[in-house]
Formats: sequence, C-alpha cells, structure tokens
Amino acid sequence: MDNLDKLLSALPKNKLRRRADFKIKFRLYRLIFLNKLETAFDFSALNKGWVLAFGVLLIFSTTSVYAYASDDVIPGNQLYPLKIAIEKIEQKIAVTPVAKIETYNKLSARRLQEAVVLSEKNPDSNQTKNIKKNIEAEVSNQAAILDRINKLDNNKKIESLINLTKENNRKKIDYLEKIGKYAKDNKNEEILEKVNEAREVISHQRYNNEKENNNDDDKNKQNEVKRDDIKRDESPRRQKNENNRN
Amino acid sequence: MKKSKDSFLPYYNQFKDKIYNYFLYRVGFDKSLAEDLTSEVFIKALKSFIDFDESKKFQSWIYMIAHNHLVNHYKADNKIIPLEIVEDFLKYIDNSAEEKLELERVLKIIDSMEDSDSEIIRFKFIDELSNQEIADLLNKEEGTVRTQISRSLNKLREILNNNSK
Repeated sequence: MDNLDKLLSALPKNKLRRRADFKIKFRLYRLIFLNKLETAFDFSALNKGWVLAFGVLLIFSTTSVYAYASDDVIPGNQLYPLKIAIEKIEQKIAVTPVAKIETYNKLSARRLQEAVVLSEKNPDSNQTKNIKKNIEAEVSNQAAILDRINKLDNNKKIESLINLTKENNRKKIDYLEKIGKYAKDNKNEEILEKVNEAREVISHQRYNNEKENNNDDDKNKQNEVKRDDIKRDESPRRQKNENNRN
Repeated sequence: MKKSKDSFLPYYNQFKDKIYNYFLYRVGFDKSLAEDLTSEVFIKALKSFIDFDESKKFQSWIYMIAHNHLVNHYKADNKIIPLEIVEDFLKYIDNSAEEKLELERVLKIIDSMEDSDSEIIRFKFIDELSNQEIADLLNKEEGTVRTQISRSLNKLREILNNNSK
C-alpha cells in the first residue's frame, strides 16, 4: 500500500444537508434574538418615565414622522438611524405580547421593503451589504414572531396572530421574489443565498397548534429561486457536485 | 468591548461542514445523528461564545467542544459505533467501484484500530487539520503528533498489507 496518503485524502468530505443547515441557522438566530432581547430590556439603571417622554417627543417631531413613514428613508440615508431609533421605541412601547408580535410583523416586512428599494437603485457594494443585513434582520424578526406566538396561551389571539403573520408572509414572499430577481440578474450569489434562507424560514414556520406538514421539502423545491439559473455557465463538474449536494 | 453574538454566524458558516464531517466519521455515518450533534455543538458554542478568546483559533476551540460533546454522547448511552452502514455511506460517492471497495476496507480498518491511532488518522485526513492544530487540540507537542501520525499510518499500512495477502 504505497499510496496510502493519497487514498486517505480521497475519503469523502460531505456537506451538511440544506435542511439541516437551515434548522441550525434558525436555532442560532433565535438564540441570538433572545439574547438581544434580554440585553435590550436591561435598562433598569434608566428612569423608564424619561425614556418614554423622550420617545414621545422624538416620535411627534415632523422630521421623525417623515423618517418613520417614508419608503425613501433606507439604509445609507441620513435619517435612517432616526427611523431605527423610533422603531426601537415603538418596540419598547409595545408592552403586551400581542402588540410585540404585531410590531415584529410590521418591522420585518419593512426591512424587506427597504431591501427591495435598495435593489432597485443600482446598489454599490455598501448598499449590497445593507440588502443582506436587512434580509438577516427579517429572519431574526421572523424567529422572534414564531417564538412569541408559540409562548401565547390565548387561543383566539393566537389564531388571529397566525393569520396576520401568514398574510404578512405573503407580502414578504413578494418582496423576496423581487430581491431574488435582482440577485439573479446581477449574479449575486450571496444575496441569493440570503433570499433562499429567508424563504425557507417563512415556509418552515410551524406553530405549536399546527400539525407538522410532511410536504415541506416539495414546497421548498417549488419556492426556491433556482440557483442553476446563474450557474448555467459553470463547469459540468461543479454543477454535478451542486446537484449531489441538493 | 463586549463581543457580539452576531459575529458568531460567519464562524458557523465557515466550520459547519467540517464539524458535520467530524461527527459523521465518528458516529458510524449516521447522517441524522451527525446533524443533531453538529447543531448541539454550535448552540453550545454560541452560548459560551462570550468566553471565546478571539486571539486564539476558533477551529481549535470548536473542535474541542465537538470532541467533548462526542465523548459525552458515547458516555451517556454507552453506544458502540456500528460499521454496517459504511457501504451505504460510500454508495453516494463519485469514485469508481474499485476505489469504493478500497475506501470501505480502509474505513473499517481505521475504525477497528486503537482509539489513539484511529483518532489521529481522522484528525489528519478527514478533518484535514495541520500537525500544529492537532497538537493544540490534544495538548501535545507538534513533534510528538508528527511521530504519532507516522506510527499510526505504519500500523494501518501493515494491517492493509496483511489483509491483502
């Protein structure tokens, strides 16, 4: 056995299956979110009354109203930090679990809407990073929504929140379609990866009061933006590996 | 400055397949089990990411967690690694039938070797760690690791030669 080194180096190196990869990522996002939540609510040193008063003042100034409501205030815009600050206050003011879920729903759709606007404006590399960040923020919000809905014990509310989330998810899928189209046209694999990840998070969302749907994989296959479309020009060997992995 | 857990995700993307392979080759090629263990390891790592010293190598740190997790996994149920599914695992590999048979034979022999020999061969050829990385992981000198790899490969070579006669 003279070529033992060669033989050992030929031992196959497998890749984590996409579904498992998604599940792990989702758990990690969820954990990161919960951690952020704990940190965000650790403002015992501050006087909550002052925070609230400042928040109300900030929200009702004219510039703030514009920053908060305008679709043109996107990452990179000078007013964007103000928009985010108001949203943080909005999240803190939403005290009940139901209000929080509604806020997360709104904000996650908004992040994707911003990503669509960014993608339509011929983004430079910085803005491309912002598109990715916004999709990541959406996934994190999505994890928060699921986590909070599953912790509720009011069945009537749960049902209406699930319906609201599903309705919102349809909107988000439309946004993701648009971002996915931009990524395909511009052969941006990183964004395409993020888009597919976000779509998977949406299509895998399971609530405690719903039965597991066994057709997940089929749905995903239909939903997924085909990576092959942008890999058409690549070598047959790489394509074969890609197919094997999927 | 406090380390943000967000910075953990790029590490996950970089090492997910390596850690998955680490488990796959050590749990009898049971894909689902390897995936579960990979998931548990990264969650454990994320929880203690705050303690990770970024001046050190993430790879050594995550392998250490994976190794301890695997030891606990086997300790918990006193499990024995089954060998029958090696054929199944190799079924999906591109190599020729002859190469597959050879790989199957090698894998079975590696699994039957003493733990210290099989582990160091796996670290070197499956996990593709450098001698220094293995040394860090096993808390040994690089020279000792080099000698041990050479000795373990000689043992493997000898068994393979004897088997082919």
